Amino acid sequence: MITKIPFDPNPLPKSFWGLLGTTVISASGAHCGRVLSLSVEGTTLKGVLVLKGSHLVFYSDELISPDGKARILLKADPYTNLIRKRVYDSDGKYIGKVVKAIPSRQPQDFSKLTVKKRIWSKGKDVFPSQISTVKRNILLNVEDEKLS
Amino acid sequence: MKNFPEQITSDDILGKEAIDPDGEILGVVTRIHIDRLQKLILGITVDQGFMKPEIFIGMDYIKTFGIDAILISVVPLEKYIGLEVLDAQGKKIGTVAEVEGTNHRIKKIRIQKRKGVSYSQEWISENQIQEIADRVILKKS
Repeated sequence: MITKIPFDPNPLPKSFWGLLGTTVISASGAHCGRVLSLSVEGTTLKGVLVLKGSHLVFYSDELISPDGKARILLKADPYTNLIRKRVYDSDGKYIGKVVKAIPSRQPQDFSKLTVKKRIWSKGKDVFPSQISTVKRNILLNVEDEKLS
Repeated sequence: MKNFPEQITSDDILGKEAIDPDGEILGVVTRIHIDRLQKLILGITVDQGFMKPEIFIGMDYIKTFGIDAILISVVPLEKYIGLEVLDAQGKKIGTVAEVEGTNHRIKKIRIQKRKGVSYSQEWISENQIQEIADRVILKKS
């Protein structure tokens, strides 16, 4: 005998084990990692701890969109996604990859990026005013010689 | 031969990466197209990689012949083909099969949905799209 389960438009919230390993996606659809742990205060979810590659990133509940069900959706693109992005100057010259992002006082914004071409090379600082595009990679509006 | 500072050769173009305004690396430049009669460069061909079609980019859409990369001034609509499409809740509903647009602006996209062994198609207009970058995210319906 087959029992038909009626569709429930308000499914029960997921358990910890249901959220564990869930993919986290930013506002632009970029993959931000998988949920490793939850941060809970009393009965309130304060945020999620996400593992991306070998990095652990914490996203607070303010950044998490309430619409996400199959995946955890973020309301914005976290600045931590900029790490390992390639940087090109206005002449199309390859500057290096982002190795460090210094956060600013604004949430999910950065004040400075450190770019290196090789592990042993001296890092160059890139400020938000010098950036023309930040999407798949980073395009600058200045030439390499003007970077500090 | 005397070298002029603004002069480049085919070695400076072929094998370089082509980057669109989003910063995405479209592929590698493999060919330069030249008008045999007028002796003008018409454009370049970019190889997007294994099992992906080549893209021809006209000279009008090339912003800079850079030192390490060729910067393109427009985003080719073909690059969105194959992207995952997610609904507002983050659930995958299909992949982009076709993109229609004018002046390099998306008007509508065709989504290919898989149902078991069969496929279905659906057209989505641009006002239903919330974000299109690494994936296509649709607005709440």
